[in-house]
Amino acid sequence: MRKFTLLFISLLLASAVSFGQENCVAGEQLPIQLMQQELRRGWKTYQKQKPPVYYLSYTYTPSSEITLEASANGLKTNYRGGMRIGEVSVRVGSPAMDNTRVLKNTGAESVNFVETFLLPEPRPNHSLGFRRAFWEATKIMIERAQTDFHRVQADTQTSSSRQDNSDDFVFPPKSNFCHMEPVVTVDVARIKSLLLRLSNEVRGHQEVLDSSVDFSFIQGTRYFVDSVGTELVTPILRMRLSYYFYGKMLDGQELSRGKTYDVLTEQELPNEDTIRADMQQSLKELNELIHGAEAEPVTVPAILKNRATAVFIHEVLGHRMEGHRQKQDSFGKTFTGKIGQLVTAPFITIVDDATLSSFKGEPLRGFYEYDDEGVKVRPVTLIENGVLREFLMSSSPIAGFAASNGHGRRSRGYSPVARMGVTRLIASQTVSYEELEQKLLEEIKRQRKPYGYVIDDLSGGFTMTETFFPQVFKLQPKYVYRLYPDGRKEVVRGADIVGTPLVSFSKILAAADDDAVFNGTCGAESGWVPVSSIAPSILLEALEVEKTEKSSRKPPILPAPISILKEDK
Amino acid sequence: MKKSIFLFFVCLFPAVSFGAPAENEMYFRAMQDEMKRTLKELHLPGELKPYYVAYVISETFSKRVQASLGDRIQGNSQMIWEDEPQVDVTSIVSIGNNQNNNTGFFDGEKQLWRGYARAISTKSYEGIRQNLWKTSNTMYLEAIDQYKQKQAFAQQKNIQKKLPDVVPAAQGIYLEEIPAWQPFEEEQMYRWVEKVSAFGKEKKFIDNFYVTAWQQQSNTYYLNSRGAKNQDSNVFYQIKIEAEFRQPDGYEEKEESTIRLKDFSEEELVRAEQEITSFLDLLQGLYGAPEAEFYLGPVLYKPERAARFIRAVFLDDLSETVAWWNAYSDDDYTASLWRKKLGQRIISPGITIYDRPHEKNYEGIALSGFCRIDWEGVPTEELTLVSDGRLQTLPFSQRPFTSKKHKSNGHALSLNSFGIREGYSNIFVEPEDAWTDEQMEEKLLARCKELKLPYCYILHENGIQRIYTQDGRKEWVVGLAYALNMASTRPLRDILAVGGKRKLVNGNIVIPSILVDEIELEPLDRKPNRKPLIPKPE
Repeated sequence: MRKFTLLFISLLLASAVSFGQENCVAGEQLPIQLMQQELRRGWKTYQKQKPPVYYLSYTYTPSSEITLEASANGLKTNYRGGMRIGEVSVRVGSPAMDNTRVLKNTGAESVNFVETFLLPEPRPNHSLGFRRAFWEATKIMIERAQTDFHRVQADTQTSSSRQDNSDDFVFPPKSNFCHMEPVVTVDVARIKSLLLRLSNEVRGHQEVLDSSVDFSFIQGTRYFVDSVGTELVTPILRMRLSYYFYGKMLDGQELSRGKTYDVLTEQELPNEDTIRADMQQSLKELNELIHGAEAEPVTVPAILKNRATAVFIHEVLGHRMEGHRQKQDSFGKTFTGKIGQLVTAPFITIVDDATLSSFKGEPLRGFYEYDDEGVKVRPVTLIENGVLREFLMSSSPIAGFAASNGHGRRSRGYSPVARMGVTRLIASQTVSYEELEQKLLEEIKRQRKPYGYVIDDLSGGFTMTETFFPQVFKLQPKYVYRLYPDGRKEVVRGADIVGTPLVSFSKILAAADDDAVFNGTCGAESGWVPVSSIAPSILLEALEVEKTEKSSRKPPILPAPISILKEDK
Repeated sequence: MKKSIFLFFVCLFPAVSFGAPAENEMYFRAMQDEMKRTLKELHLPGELKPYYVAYVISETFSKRVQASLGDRIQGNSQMIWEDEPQVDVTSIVSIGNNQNNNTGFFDGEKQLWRGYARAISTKSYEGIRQNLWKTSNTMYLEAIDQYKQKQAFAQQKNIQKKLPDVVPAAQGIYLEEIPAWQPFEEEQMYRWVEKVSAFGKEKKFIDNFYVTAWQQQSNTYYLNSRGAKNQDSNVFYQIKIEAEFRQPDGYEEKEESTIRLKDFSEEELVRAEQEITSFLDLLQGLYGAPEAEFYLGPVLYKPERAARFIRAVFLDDLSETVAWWNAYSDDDYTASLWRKKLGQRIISPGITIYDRPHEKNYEGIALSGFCRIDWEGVPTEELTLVSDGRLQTLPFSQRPFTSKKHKSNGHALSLNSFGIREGYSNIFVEPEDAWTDEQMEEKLLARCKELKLPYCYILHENGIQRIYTQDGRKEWVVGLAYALNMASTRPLRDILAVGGKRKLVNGNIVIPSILVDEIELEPLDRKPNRKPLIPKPE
């Protein structure tokens, strides 16, 4: 199975740490002291090995979690727990060539893993289990890295030459930072009760075959040390409430509506009446979709509403701006040689700024302070006034870009690669949304099309970046409608958006002034990472729509019990 | 003593019970209401309607704590379902009739999952109904597909006459009082696992030593459309110990053991503590022990190893005793080969093997095979599987074995991907003449001498011991694999003696030591690891 990259709203948790300044001393934290002690104890010995260890990092992440999932007036998931995770990352060889290099001869294999293990809580004079676990994991990782390095050496001899012969690693600068957040409390009983009440909102709705109302919360701290001398302490804090409704047509078409609320504290959640009103709106939209026309393959002018645009730039452009995709020969390298060239409309600027912690009061899940390689994140201007400027960089250099800009990211157990954080499309010329819709009508008439599309909501999609595949993307809208030349709107079901990045990105005609946030979780080679995207609504000269895949099973024969039961049952 | 009620009645006769333990009103009402709707309304035009429905609701509570070398470890899996259970619902739907329904047929090539449908549910009337509705719908569609494929198969094979698919047996009701979930006190148990895991520090050669305390309660609620009903509960208390160490010559060893307890009372924890100490002493014996060589000769299996032996040569093939039609093969390769040996001599004389589903505890420790009503709603029966060396009977469900006069013995205890099959419950191995441990060792040595072997082997749960013929001296060895030919049942007839001191192993096998005349033991083909680059932290 070949890999592809996904971005979608999911129940996976993502970070949206409350912004903060340094408020503690990293070196005074016991986990930092113990990890440093263990790292230093063996460092000189490790360096003398053949092949030598030349970089080593330890991460310790204790966290506590609450996950609640309510459905049909009951709790399906009621989890409260915590974990203390240790991770060891080892580089063997030299920065010019090390064990992490993706082998050319094994084709698509490009995932590196770090050793992950559960840890006891370190306490003063009570840390043997903690230290021994790091010692054991280091031993395993060095053995694995040395084996991998031999494979890399063999692969280098036997495989065709690399187009980009940059080093495998650039040492991150030594950093020292400590930011801890006070403990956030959650009234679990209140949240449970709220979820249970909200889960009854589907009563009487026979079109809803499945539904859930979910709450997730994680709070923790990431401790990081490496052989360069970096010591970091950064917080993890994220909270989300979400719901979804699922329906299915007789022809197998699957439909869903839902919403997520990302906050940092329980008090920031919308009140119950607001959520109920949103749920009623979603149920109304689900009904509209069920009674809507089925989409037909077509190419027409279209508006991508703000949150849909946010997903669009993530999938269509963002993944192709990741540094390692310019380096490995297995990737399509759509933008690699286009630095300094115009790649989209001159009024468009795209920045990845993971230092932004919120936008219009909404927390950004893609925010972070230091990346997973210990590098301080900085804003990166990917496209400036339509011209390609920079790529997102981890500590793996590429031709023309020798250093990391703090975008080496990963989830538990994976090695970092360059990933997005908070990707933002900024338009220097904007109109109101109403004017944008007027422009769409004009464009429909100019192109003599029977209608245009308004993509109101996208759940996610995927993009293919490897040369084996065509360099295409596919986005999966959840709520779209046709806009006819007379201004009439018609909700349509089963429409997918497809296209190729260079063409699609060159079709932006105008943008509105209604910037909004899409908070999601993105999956790629280095696992699932929290991301945000901010964008206004945009008008595209042309958008290709194709039919959505349908399920082979018909919907259930009988109506769902919850839809026909009275509440007092 | 917990209250329980057990009735059985002939199908279609209503069961009346007075003074019975309270059944879970919400669960049974949800099952009854959805079952009624399924039987009456779940129907595709032109297709058969469901004629039999069974539902199961399982509640699982679980709590565990773990420590390593004196320090507590927190992991995601440790506190799931601590306050409220995980609730699973399972649906089984049949179409057709007892003579000919959708069951008893599978396509072994496609390996389709159509025996039952399961879903995680919420613990609410509406949630249970929702999930029973979903899974019933799934199973009904599967049943239609399976029924048609089965008909096509019968036509293709020109099968004119066959035994019925179901020979109905009397259905039963068993209602047991469900105890409230009472998880252990977390901080107290953390302190205990910290304390006993710290024992590992005293053995300097040990790299890691984990102790996990785990409490689990499983409650089961069953209802079928023929009137059977079951409500029972089991609570398990276990201590798992795992050790990792490195031999002086570089071989890395991992040993583990599970200690089953009645509960986590002080008395039981003292017993566990003693077993942990013995386990660590055993590791001391294994550290630096010589590597073993190929061996062929008599072997004394201690109870834990005896259970593995009896599983490998007997129990592992004791399920699925009635063959199904298999579209992929003329024979049902999944069915037990013991079905062809009923009445024959299979084991050395003097050994009786019982299947006892009604035993809830052994010496106060919960047995995992306890069951009063099987998956077909039939009351379970206690079986004497083997006596006088002969296979006397097998686990049977309502699917006839050889004749229409077949009678289920309530052993439809296996629910696998293809459907309900026969299975065993709690196995008790009992000798006519029980030998003491000393007598067993004497017998082993005597046989060794007879065979002119320099030593023989005693297989313990963890570790293997040589016993020298000349002087009876014992020596731990490492690096031996258990080379038992699983296809052969010959070793069953090579049993020379059976001990009297029995032990509960794997939760459902109660077995003493067993002396077998001829077993092959092969050295492991393993390579040592290099020395750690730096010594472990102390």
